[in-house]
Amino acid sequence: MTWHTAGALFRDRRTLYALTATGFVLSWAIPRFGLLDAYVQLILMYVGINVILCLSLNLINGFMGEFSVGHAGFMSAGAYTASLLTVRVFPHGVAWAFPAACLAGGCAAALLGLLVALPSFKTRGDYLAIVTLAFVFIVKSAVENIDAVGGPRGFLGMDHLTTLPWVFAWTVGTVFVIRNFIYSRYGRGVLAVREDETAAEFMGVDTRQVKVLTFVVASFFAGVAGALFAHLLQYISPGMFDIVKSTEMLVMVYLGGVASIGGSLLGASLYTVLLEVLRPLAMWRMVLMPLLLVLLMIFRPRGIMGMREFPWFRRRPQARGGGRAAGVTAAAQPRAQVPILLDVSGLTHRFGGLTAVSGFGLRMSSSDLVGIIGPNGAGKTTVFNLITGAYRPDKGRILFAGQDITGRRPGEINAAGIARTFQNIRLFKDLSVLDNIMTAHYARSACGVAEALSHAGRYRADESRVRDHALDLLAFFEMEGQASACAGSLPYGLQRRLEIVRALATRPRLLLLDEPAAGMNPLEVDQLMEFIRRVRAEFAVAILLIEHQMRLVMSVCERVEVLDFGTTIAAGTPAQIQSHPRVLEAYLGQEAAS
Amino acid sequence: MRRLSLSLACCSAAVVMLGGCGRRSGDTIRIGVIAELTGSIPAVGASCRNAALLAAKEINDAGGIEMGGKKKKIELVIEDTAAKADQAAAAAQKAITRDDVAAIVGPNSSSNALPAAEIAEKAGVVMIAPWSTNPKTTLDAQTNLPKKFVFRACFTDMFQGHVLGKFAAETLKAKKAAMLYDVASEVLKSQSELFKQSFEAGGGRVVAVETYTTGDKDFSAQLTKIKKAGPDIVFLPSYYTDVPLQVQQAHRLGLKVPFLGSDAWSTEELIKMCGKDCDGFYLSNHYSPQTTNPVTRRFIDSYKAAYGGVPDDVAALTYDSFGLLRVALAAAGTTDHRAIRDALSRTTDYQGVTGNMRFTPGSGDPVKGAVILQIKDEKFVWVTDVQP
Repeated sequence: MTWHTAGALFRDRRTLYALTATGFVLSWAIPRFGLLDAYVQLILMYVGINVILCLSLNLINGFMGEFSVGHAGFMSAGAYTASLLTVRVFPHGVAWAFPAACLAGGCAAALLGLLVALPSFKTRGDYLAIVTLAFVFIVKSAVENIDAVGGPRGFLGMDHLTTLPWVFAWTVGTVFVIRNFIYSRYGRGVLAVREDETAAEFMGVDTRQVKVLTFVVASFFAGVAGALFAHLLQYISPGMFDIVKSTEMLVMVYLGGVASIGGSLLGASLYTVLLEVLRPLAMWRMVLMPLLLVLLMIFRPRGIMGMREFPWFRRRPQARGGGRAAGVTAAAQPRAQVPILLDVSGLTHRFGGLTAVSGFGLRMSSSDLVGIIGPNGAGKTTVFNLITGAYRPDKGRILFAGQDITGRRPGEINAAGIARTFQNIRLFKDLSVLDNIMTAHYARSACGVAEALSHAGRYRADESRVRDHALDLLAFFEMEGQASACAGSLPYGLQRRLEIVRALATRPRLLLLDEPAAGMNPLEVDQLMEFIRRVRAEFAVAILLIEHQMRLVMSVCERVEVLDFGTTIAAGTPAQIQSHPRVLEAYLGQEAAS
Repeated sequence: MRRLSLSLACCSAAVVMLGGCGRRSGDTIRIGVIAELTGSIPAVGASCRNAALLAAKEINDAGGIEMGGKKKKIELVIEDTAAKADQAAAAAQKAITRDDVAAIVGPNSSSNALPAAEIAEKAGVVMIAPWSTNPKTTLDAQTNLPKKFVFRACFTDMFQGHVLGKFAAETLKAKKAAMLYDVASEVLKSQSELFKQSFEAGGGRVVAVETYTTGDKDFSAQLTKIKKAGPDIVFLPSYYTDVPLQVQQAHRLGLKVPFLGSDAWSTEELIKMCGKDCDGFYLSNHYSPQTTNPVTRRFIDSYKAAYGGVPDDVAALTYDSFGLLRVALAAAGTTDHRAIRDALSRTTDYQGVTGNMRFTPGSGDPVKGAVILQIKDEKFVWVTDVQP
């Protein structure tokens, strides 16, 4: 067989289906006819359980980019819940008892996952690691102090219910559900949280929902793995589910590769099998495995399959839905007009003793194109942050389309119809151009959690609607050719443009552009001016922009506000501003002005 | 693509290695030694391995074990558990399936021994856990009846109650005893019941039975009652963390009789926390390097000669596990698992380094002696060996 045919087989999804079917048959036939000895069967079951653990931890640590070490705790919850049910509650010898116990174990772990996730909203990185570390210790001590489940001595009495077919079925199920989750609107939210949580929030991604959901899904499968583990060893003790167990899972995740389903399959299998194969090394076995990890971190820090995917698990390339959709411009989606779109009054914000913005006021109609200029540190970006909900104003009120949005969260403000770009580009760099745009559709997606996990129901229709709309948007701006390119790999000017397109994907009525021309050459600035005019005309959005490039501001904007020390010192048409004495004073100093 | 295929090839190679054929034993008797060589308790694993190597060498130097008119040597298959339950199970399964061992010695910690015992029992291969004191190791979890193929070389936690009762009645010649124990702990409760049984069988009388619950800090009510009953000794099978508080409160109330405890006391921590208050008290233990027993002395000397240090209780119990196995293998005259099991369970008088041992039919727990230590000038001092 040549590399070519091997590759084709590898890319063909039917091979995966065939392998899965063969796997099911084998998982039944192997123990039935003793095709492999008991030792290999045991190791195969360990592999399956570790794949489930590794994949579910990868969801949090790889796909979402957090650092959780709490999986041993979730596994423990699942193991104890399932064991208690099969030993003390469910009748013995009935067929439904074991799957029901596994589900219950998963649910118990998911509930704990929810409890951990809720207070951990605001914690990221190191803090989440510490919270989950504490969680592992809490679970261990709690179980050690419950005599009803054997305390530190552990719990026994489970039948040997974990069999090869069960392990295989749960493993396939886990891969199926987690893959579905990743390729859904929630999955895009998960990746956006990893890439840039703040930007995700401004683009309408409900980051709380995404984080909690991810934690719950991941801990559910850790609980299932715990249940399988308990009924395989027929003995569990709190000491088994300590931080060392979590570390083992971390090793598997980072060995196989972060943010990769194929990587988790590979990492868990390699780790488990190597530990056994290397037995002849005796004491050196436990030295070699960590050493392998150190070398891997040096030469391949994201793991063997880091951020890449086996062709089988990639998203299926899908054809565009029913041709060109209704269209993306305002003509296709007319909206009711309001006389005053934005009405900001008396806005004040302090950073400690420094008043960054003081008594700022601004009114815009739904077709205005207004520029804010001012020296560095004048408070321009702070005004943007106040309007978009990044900061909460100390004083003042922001009315948008007649609605008071003062102090709302960025996601809510985005939903109300305000979108923004950032001074330093904040794209989801490791995601494709198309995914960047599709992520911005999060809030307007109709797909529910159950549909996302099963890819059933409205999932397909919703997904193709979102994709078509995103592709149309790209086509409108002549970027369709870059749809599958990695956003971070685009040239600078295109990245700026993509960020604006992404903001437009949330269907705003007001677009805030923070220094859109920063770092551009004169030719690119010319193109940008044309672009801004076109956006306003075709999408019927009001635009408020901050810019230092006077050529752009003076030729594009109809009105200009000049900010200095947090207050508006002048406002008017570009012509009025250019000769305004206070503006000259602020920009050129007192003497020059006089 | 190429790299992907390469990693796939590596995986398949690993699986093939895993799938390789097992070895069949021929001229040697293969014994699996499953120990916690790495992980959280490597000292335990090292003692176990050292003693196993020493025992095997002694057996082989003596020509081996006679089977079917031919002397066969012992061959050890040493496997690591990394102090993890899942790896203990895998190691046991590998020793049985792949290495075709005649019997298994180890693992030592109960959390490793329990899952390995399930595997050994299912496969019908004799396993002797040297140091696992959890009563459940040798019991069937569902029926609570003894397992058929799992034995241990140490006494269980409960069994010490029996030895201590005997010691109190016969050696200390105590007539009246009081007991104070943690009612929340199943083990300590049964330990106390066994103490009462054997103490009263020896002619004594338990005059006061008082209890408390884990976490209690004030024992004055119970101790006052005990003092009123006027015992000659007090049986106190508490964990070493509770003992200093209880003893100090007793002394403040003027209760000045000797206290007796179990191996839960046998840590330097106790002496540090208790100080002079525990002076003169007695406790039972698996083994003491100070014993005058000639069998034990010989073991200590050869262990010292081989490894340079004094053997601890894990080493002594592992050595005894091999001793028991040697006798059973010789008696069976074959490596047939069932025959070894039958021979082992018929062991009636094995002179071990940790005391004389015998198995009662249908139980994997030995009836065996213990050593009694006394705390003297803030040191543990050997007093006597007690035979059951």
